[in-house]
Amino acid sequence: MAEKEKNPSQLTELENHYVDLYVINCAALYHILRIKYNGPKDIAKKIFIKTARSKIKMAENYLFSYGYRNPPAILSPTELNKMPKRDLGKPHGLSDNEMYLRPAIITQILQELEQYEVYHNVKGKKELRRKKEQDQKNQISSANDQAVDLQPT
Amino acid sequence: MISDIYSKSNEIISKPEVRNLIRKKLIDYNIGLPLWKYIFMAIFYSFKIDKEAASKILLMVGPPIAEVDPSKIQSLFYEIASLDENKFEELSEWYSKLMLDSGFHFSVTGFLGLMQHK
Repeated sequence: MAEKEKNPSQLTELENHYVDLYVINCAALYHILRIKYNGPKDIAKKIFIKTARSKIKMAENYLFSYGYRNPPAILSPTELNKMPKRDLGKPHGLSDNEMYLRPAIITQILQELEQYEVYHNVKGKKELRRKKEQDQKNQISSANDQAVDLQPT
Repeated sequence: MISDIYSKSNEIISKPEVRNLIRKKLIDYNIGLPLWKYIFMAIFYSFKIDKEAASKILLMVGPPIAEVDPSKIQSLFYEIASLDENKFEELSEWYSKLMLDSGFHFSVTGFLGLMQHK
């Protein structure tokens, strides 16, 4: 059965940790934006417009968001190259058979995102098989948990 | 493969009681409103500087949530960008309150973190 909403004072230590982490990150972001840039107009030019005009930066930010928002899954660089094309490709006027970026560049981006621990590189068939099995087990276990959660009391 | 490092934090942050406390703290410590006001102003200036480029920023956040029509959002930003710059502050404040009240900031914060890092 779905958990009843807790009162803020009933939050666990881990939940309180994430609350503080989120608030601290927001404070740090605001502080950095204030000290590093000369006001919102400067941020617009140096971050937003600069990023929007670069296909590589766009793909990098898009793939960061994608990995950040989605649950663990095994995807090939080619599959990950298709996603920005599906969602960002149109404004660049790409044809159907064109890739969003050259595979070598997508690999470079993914290597960079590994530093933020958004993605992990799975090397070799053995490791890939092991990860896939683990992934399937996790999915089954999560489905079972949800099924138990939906049982009437 | 997509790492599981953010799954746990996303799972916890999705809980209504956790979100309520985050919202409360962001308001009590006077962080949420100034931060989002600053970001909204930067977005409005982006549309003023280069409408076409700024529109791509909206696409980059990922597929929009079902109830949001991206073309309507884009038209709204075009409309705001056409206003005089001295209106930006007031409008940013209004949208920041909306952002915090709706909880939409939970979907875009990670992305903004990376953007400022770049």
